[in-house]
Amino acid sequence: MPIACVSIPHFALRVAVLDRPELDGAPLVLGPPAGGRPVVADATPEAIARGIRAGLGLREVTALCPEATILPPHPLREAAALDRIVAALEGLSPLIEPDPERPGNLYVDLLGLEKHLGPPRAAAARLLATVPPVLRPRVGVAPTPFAARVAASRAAPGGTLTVDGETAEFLASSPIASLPLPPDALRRFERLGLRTLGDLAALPAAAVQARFGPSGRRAWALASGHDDARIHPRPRPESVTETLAMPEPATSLETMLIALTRLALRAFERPALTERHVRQARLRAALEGGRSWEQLATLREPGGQWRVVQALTYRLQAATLPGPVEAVTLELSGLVDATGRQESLPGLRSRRPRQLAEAGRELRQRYGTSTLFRVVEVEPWSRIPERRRALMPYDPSTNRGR
Amino acid sequence: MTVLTRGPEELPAALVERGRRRPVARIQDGWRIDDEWWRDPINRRYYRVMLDDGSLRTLYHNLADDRWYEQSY
Repeated sequence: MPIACVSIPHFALRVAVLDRPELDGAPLVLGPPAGGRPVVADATPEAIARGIRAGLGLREVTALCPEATILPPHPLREAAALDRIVAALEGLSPLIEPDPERPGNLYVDLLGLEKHLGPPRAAAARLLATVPPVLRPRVGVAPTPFAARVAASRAAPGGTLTVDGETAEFLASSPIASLPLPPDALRRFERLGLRTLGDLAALPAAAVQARFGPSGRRAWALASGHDDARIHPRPRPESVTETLAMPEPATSLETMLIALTRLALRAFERPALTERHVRQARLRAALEGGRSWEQLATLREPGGQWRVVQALTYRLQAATLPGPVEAVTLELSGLVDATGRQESLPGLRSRRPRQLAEAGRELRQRYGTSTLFRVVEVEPWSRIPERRRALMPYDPSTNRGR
Repeated sequence: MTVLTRGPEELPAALVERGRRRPVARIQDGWRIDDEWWRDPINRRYYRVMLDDGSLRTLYHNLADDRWYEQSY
């Protein structure tokens, strides 16, 4: 019984309730991120009961359910809440893995922790106690991560469900939509009359693989209770974070750029960044009214302070801040040793055109074609090194002086 | 050039060039590039390594054909 799944459905909305408990029980709708299409991203069961579903236009939400509260996403708050939950769970097991595909689902490896946490039911109860009840968490415990997630989805809010018998038997009655497959793949299963995991598991594995390929084979294995996935604890990448509280809420781009420059200066003064470069920079802004905003810049090559400021400046110039900024946080990650770059010496010129023309003639005579090439920039922004430059045939007689 | 790897993550452990084995003293950096999925997908795992003689090399494991290459420019 080694795996537990702690599940918090509608994670972003429940986290919003954590900050505003008066919203608990109200129909809540998660709106799009800033600049996104005005459609519903998620809805609580109370909103779903009123006909609201993901993908519905926000105007229709108001018509269907005028009392619904539409909340914007708050990535900063959600990431902080997830960090707190993971930290609390890490007090019980060292192997915690948040599911990147399903925010609010966390897998916990319980292998070898029986003496510490007790039997599965007691372990599930202890895991549940680490999450604030207002998030409506539920815990499933099963031999495999997939079965644990299905068990958690079947548990009542604030409850636990432990798979005691055969995993395949437990999974058999679960809907086919439980499988981690894209919607079109699930629709193909349903069109063939496969409604439950038991229906799929009853088919010969080879036939499923022949029809649906490797993903179908994996789905068959999951439905049959076989899941060789292991729990990988979240990586702890080295990072440097600096925060600057604004003396007064900032609205202008100039103020943000000054704040960014100061943050980068402070960050690169830290010992952790001495003679080091960074690969990724994340700028987060805490906005007035409790909202947040963030931008991520991944550098094409690791860079220092100037490169970070430059990359984030471009993003700031292109973005529209959704409100006055109260505090700015710069997080630098992907730290690597700074390596020197050999730049061309200014004014360094190739051999004189007459000499090159002569060399070209000799080469043509010897090989039948000129083997001189010029290096030209093609896609200097490309992440793939060989896409950045190309070799073009070079004829010195027609490229005089260049 | 042949790259010898170690561990389940297949990290570069040594290079064999012209019959000579050159151990990797340190992996300075590692990153992955997944791009151009709309034509011929590019899936590479890059490593910036320092060999035991102090020279720096950039290698990548091309996941499409499971072979190692050196990015020399």
